Amino acid sequence: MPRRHGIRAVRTAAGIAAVAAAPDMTRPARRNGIRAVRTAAGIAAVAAAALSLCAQAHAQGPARPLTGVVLSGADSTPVVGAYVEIAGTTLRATTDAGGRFAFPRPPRGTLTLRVARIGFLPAAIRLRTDSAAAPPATVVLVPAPIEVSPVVVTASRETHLAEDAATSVAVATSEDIERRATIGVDEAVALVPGVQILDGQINIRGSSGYAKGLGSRVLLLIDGVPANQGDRGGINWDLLPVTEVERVEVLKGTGSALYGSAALGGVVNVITRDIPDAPQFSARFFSGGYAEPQPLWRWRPGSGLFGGADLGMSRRLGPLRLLISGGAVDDQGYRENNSDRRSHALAKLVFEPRPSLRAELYAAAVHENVGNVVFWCEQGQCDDRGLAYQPFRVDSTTLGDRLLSDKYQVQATARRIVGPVLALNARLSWFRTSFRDRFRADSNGSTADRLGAELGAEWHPSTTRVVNVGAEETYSTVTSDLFGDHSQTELAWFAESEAEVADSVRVSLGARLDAIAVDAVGWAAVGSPRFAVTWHLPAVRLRASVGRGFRAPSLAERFTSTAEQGIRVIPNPSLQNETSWAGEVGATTRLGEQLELDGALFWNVYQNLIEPGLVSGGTQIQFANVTRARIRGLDLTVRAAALADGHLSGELAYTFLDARDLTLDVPLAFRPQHLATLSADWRFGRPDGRGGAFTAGFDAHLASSPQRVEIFESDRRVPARTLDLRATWARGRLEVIGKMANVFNYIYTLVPRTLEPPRTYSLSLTTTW
Amino acid sequence: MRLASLVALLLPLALGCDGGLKPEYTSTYCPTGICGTIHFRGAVPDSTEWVRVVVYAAIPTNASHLTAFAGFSDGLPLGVDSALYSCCIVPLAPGSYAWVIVVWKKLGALDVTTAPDLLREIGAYQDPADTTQFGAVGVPSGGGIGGIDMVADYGKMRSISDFFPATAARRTPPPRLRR
Repeated sequence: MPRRHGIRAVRTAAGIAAVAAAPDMTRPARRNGIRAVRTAAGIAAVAAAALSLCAQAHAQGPARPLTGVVLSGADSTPVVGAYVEIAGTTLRATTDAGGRFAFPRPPRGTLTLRVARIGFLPAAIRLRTDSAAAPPATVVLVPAPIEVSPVVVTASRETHLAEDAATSVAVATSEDIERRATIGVDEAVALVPGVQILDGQINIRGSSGYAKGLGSRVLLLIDGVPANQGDRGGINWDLLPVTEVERVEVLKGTGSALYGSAALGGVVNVITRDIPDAPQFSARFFSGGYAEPQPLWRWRPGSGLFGGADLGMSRRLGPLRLLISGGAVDDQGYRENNSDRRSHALAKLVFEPRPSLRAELYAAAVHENVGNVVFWCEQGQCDDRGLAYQPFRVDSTTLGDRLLSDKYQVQATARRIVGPVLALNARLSWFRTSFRDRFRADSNGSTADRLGAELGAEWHPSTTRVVNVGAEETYSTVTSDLFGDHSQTELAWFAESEAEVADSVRVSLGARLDAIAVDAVGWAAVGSPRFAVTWHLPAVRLRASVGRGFRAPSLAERFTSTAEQGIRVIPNPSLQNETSWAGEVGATTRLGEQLELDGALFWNVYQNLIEPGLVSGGTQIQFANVTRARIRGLDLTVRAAALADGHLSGELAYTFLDARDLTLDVPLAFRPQHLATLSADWRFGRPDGRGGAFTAGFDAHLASSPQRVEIFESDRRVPARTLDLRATWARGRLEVIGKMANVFNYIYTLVPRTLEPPRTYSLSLTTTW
Repeated sequence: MRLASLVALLLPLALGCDGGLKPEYTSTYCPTGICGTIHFRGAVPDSTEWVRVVVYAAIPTNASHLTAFAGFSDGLPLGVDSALYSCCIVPLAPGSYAWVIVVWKKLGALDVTTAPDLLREIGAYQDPADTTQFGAVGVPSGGGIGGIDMVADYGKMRSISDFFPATAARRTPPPRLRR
């Protein structure tokens, strides 16, 4: 039996016998002979073999349905939305509004039921099922003051207890997002320790640097489906509204062994919220404004305002669940020529005719019309009032430059549980990004499509081993007057086996083979192996992983052909993949119920990093594989809860980065050496109490200025230091959040000549019926 | 646990310390008086008390005229490569100023008798049309004049009295100013 820190077995119902030993009585002992499978035919073979095993298991006859209820140990109330799994099988469930769960066809024999919910310690109970009728199981969860997401998906492509993840995964939950009144998903991601967003480009432990959004080294997933742009490889953070986000998982470290290209520096997986049984209507209205700049920098009378609304409704119709959502944002911007109008719509359809089949269809569309700001105004480029620069203004020759964009995402996923030992997963996706510049100087545009398909299998050859295999195809095309007309095809096969090899020691070994062709020629293959281990000791959970990562150049990096400020950018079709070896060692421990410490040492070595550089005697720019680099560092997180008589909780996170360009022997550009965040929340009252519940909190962020930048190196750089204050009042169905970001109106940049927001105040009102 | 609350409260306040980006005037910006950039050369002597831009309506002809300046700037930063300045502490009246110089002051009590020893010229504004001559600066009514840039060299100091009529260097900038 797994002996994990903090897990308590609760056995209550008569007829369900808890047992001390754990003989596997559900399946024959055919546990070996599973090898990494790298072709679709291989997958089919594995599926067939597993189906055979499944049939044998079923030949013994399934037990009676296993039902149960999950209660809170604090007040015996039902726990809604708890994750329940029969360990070592494909069977999972979520508790309903009454805290109930059901497994219609559990395997017969001795089972381990694992239950987890945010705000509670995970629990595991042993029970025996047989053909005799058994009363419902009752699982009592012990409240945990420290609230961390109990399950993650991104670490292994399957829902996993967070404590079993072998790579650092940070999670921003919907509660985190709500109480900070974030408007965009990028704001939610930026809350995660060790993450920094530079003008929209995400850095996880310093992975990406800054290349104006081109060629992200972080992969964005929406419910597990890749959603990076087909042409530029970058990330659109406005693809879905935060109101529909259940949680955001951030995999820190290379994820190429599971996800392939673009996961070189990490993965962000945005999990949309599940649709409840009862009809629901939700609305959020928000409004706010920006502080006026000081008089010498003032560029308009009064301050800029923003506002928006999100509306959503969902309901269940038999096996169908439907969610539709829409909204709009109108933002005057804090800088000149930076107003933004955005509208979005989303629909999610879940079809679950029986527990063994779940299919989802997700469709989203976003339209945006935003002013284009390249850099701020330098002396002479605008009415500079004698100042060396005007950070809130832009070059007056670019006034009126706009950027119009449309994004459409459609994805269908299905999970079929063939039996306790086998589940099949499939997905299809289409992602279109289209933009058109409307600049005074010139206008460019691009339309990119990214089509994806995946077939995978989750196989449990024994209760202590799970094997994930799959094949994936991505086909990207672009039609653009900047990048030309091109296509890129990626085929991939992956397999990973995770097993409990000793008491509380889990080892996973996997690999992925990617084959990539540009314009259907020049196929090149790259392999990405990964090895990981977790070891749960009584007082500490240890994890370690090492793996290879890679990123294929984006079509934009290969084929951009344009002129920028008089310098011509020329294509480089022969760009090679960026590759890396990444390793991590981490540990998590709890000191009592109030304190949790997590630390990780990481070491990444990169080859062939793609950077823009001057060629032809400085007259042209071209992307080239030029850099060997090393990023090593340390992540530390301290979480505390139930301090100050139970009212105070907080989190302190610190990341140290030693990022070095080994080719030039200089610091890697755009990486801060120190990143730190401190957050705290004071809670008073209860949401259902008279007067409602009141929460006040703050987030303080610190990032040292990068030791090196690649543009405007002589500009003065200052560290980023901001303090955000927030207060929430909730009563019944109503929640009101007031927020003031960058309270001290600290003026700073993360990217040269690109101003970060000044003091910003907002008020949001959320209601759910 | 009250300590935890206190720490949580005070730590973010520490972030309130200033240090962000501030408006930076360029040398050509000058709402009043005379403004520009001083480019420094050489090492700052240990005996330095201050360095300022000093403006005279006419070139002094004797020691008693040394204190008859039209105005002077705030002390300039020491040990930097360059610094913007704006002159003067007391606003200059509109008019023409024949001698705009960078003055180094040695430690010591300043009076008419010690001035020739304690005050040294380390830079001067040159006539753009003839860099062998000092440049006169005209301050317009209701405004200022920017771009009055100078080179100040700690290694090539000259006593203020070197420019009195009795000396041969009258109205002639030191050789280092010639380009």
